[in-house]
Amino acid sequence: MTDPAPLLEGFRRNARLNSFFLDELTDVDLALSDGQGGMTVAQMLSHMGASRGGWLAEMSPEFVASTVAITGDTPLWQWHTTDRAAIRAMLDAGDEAAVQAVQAHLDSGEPFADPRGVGTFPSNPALFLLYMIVHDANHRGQIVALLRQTGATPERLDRLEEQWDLWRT
Amino acid sequence: MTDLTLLLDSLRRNARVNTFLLGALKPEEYDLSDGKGGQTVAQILRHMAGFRVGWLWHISREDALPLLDPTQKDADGDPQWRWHDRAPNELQGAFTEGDAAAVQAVQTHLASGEPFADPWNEGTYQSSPAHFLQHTIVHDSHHRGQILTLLREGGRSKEEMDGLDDFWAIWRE
Repeated sequence: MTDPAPLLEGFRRNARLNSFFLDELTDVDLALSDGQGGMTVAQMLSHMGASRGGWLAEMSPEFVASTVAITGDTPLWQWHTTDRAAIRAMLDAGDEAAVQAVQAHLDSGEPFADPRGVGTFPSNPALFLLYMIVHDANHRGQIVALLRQTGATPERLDRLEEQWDLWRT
Repeated sequence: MTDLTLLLDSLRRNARVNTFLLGALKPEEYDLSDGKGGQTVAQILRHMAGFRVGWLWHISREDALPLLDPTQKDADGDPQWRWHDRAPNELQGAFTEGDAAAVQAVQTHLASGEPFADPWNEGTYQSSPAHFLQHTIVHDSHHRGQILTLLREGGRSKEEMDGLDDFWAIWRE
């Protein structure tokens, strides 16, 4: 079996970056949007967090409880909040559930369920972690762009650029 | 030694996503920008493709050489990137050959046990050369997100944007 260790390490780095962003962004930042129909920063971060549970609900529902505990009656894909602590809790819970689900499916050899036939990592369940990594990076890029468009100072943007240091360690 | 299987698979998927995006862009979209000093779509693509050669030049110079034209020099007097003046719709080769050079560099350094050079003492991939591949994938994803935003703000309809989302399926195979 292929070794998932590099992806697990990448996923841990990704989690640290999401935490770094939550530390850096102010309440004003969280409310920003492009005014042209795009998501606000808070909506993007919420979407990133909820996407873990959203996929697990289809692929491996026994691992979804910790994220559903946060969303309550709101469907996972519709959940969003401006509460930074709740976003952080969702990312943390989703990350832990994703790793547990991947590990369980690697151990059992059972592929993730695919009830909609959209593809759920049949080649290797560990690729779900990569999916979350690239999905988060996609939206962090959009958050940085939004901050720049709305007048973030060069100093703030430089500080966010420090995110890249983590990937080079 | 680090098992590169999943990372190499990841990089190949990333390459397919880049190809998908390059194929989906309309000529008039290369010049889109946020109108507030941000990079254009063409500049972002060039920055993404140039990431490979830029880092390789500092961390594993011999592996950068296939991407360079030694007969031309850049502003620093270093060999010029072969795609430095190519049109944005000609950057596919820069991505493909850049990926190949990155893989070659990582495999060579993993096999020899020699870490990448670290010219600024910032710990450049010292824990494992393999992280260069993960960094490349994340960097591309970050900037693809920005390109998608520019396309949406540039007038693509919701249906067209939904069509662009098809590339996520490549990651779910």
